[in-house]
Amino acid sequence: MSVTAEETLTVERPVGRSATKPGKDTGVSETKVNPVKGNGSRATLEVGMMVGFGLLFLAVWEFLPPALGVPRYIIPTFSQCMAEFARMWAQEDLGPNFISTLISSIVGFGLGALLGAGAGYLLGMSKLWERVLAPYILALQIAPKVAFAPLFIMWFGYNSIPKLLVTVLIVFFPILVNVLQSMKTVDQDLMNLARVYSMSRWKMFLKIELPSSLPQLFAGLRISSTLAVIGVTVGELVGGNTGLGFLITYGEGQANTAMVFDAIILLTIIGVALYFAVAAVEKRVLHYLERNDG
Amino acid sequence: MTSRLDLQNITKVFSDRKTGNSVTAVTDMSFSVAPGELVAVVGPSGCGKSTILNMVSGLYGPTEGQVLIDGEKVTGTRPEVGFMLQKDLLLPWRSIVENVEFGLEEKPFNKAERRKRALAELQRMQLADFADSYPHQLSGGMRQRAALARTLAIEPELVLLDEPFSALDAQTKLVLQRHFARTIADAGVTCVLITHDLNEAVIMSDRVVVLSGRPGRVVDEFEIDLPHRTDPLQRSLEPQCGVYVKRLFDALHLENEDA
Repeated sequence: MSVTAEETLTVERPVGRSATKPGKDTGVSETKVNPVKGNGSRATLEVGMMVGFGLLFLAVWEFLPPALGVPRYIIPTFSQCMAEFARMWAQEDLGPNFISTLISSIVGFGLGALLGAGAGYLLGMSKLWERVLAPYILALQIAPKVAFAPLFIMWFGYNSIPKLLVTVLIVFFPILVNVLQSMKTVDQDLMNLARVYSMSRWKMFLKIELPSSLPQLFAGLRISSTLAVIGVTVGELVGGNTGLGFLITYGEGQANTAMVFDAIILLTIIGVALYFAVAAVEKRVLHYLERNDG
Repeated sequence: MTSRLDLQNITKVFSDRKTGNSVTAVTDMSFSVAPGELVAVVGPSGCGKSTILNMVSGLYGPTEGQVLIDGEKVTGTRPEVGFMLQKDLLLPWRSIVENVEFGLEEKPFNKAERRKRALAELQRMQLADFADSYPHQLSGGMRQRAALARTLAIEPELVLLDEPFSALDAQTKLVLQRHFARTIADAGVTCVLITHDLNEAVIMSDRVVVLSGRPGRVVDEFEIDLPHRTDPLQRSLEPQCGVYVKRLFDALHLENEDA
């Protein structure tokens, strides 16, 4: 966000009921600028430009390839892709395949997040185990998780387990690493305060460490939500008989480029939906944080 | 209820496990605080002021010597000690009243009783209107008042203040010093105020303990024989005030130091 001189003049207080005395922190919030509220016409312009850009893109997609003589098996036009959607819906079980990928993404993401966060908190509680396991965690984190997909298929066969496992694995690490980091950076003075209040270890975790870690946990969840779809897709590409990833290989085999395009579009939509779902939950849970993004 | 605090020949050595070096933070330190007394501890940075606070609150024990509260040896954290730092240590995810309840949750009160006590404490700090606000919505001075409310809500007999005003701007500091002085006098608690502000030590305390640089030891100790302990601003107008500050200045050998 670039702050122009004009914007800095429209200073808005972030909270209605604000401090009466000048404190060191209110100074910071006072300089905060909200360009959306501060300048309504500019916001409208931005949205207009955004929509305009999208329409321009669609127009180029629709008219440029035919004009250049690019055949439909290389780049199908926008309208051809839309028509293919209808055909896939009617003839290729698009609905069930979409649902299969959607559910796999959600379940894989949920399981991976649960395991990643759980492992992060457990390791965060024990400096010893964290140090002992650190090199192995690093190695597993660096290992390309998608390369495990064929292995899982060899182990578990052509069903939904391999793609779930790849997803869980891919989702696991960003969350583990973020949670672990947050456990290390918990304010030790706060922990001392709790100790002075004779708080039990478990209560200290519940009342201080867990809430302190939430911003970083959500940062990990956001990253992982975008990765979940990759995990499911790879699983389906390598050895699936359902899902959008399967439709991609199926379409590829038939040289049906529009089908591949459509599957990619739907996969992107699932990823975006998952990301925004996480962001929406985050906004509710972390309501007490000051935000700059409005 | 107020407590008496005795530090007897305290030495604290920290050893670094990695390098094997050991650092003596304080050495052979003794001083006492009478019930209801407010003693300021001043000293150069690194003289182990915070070490003293941690030992009195029972977070760790001294290497040699002992800390006594009401004649009883401190071996661990105890419920009658309240402590407060330069940082307000308010939990950002809790509203102000919930923050005040934080320490009360370890006491045998039910939810309604906790809320009642917390609100009463906020009333005393003139923060009742902000009970449902979140810490980030308050100014630094208000947050520090909320922290004092949390500290006093558990009805401590001994309060340890570690530079509670040092992060505040000059005006807020003046107002808050007066507020604290009155509240602490009202509560009648024994209080140790750790500070590097010589003027603050003189205008807020009954007695001052001066520490040397590392390893910290007591180099001077004297009563502040001035009126208005509950009104630091009024006390600062006393002509004798400057004399005490000068004495502290001399005791700390600050004239030899470069700024």
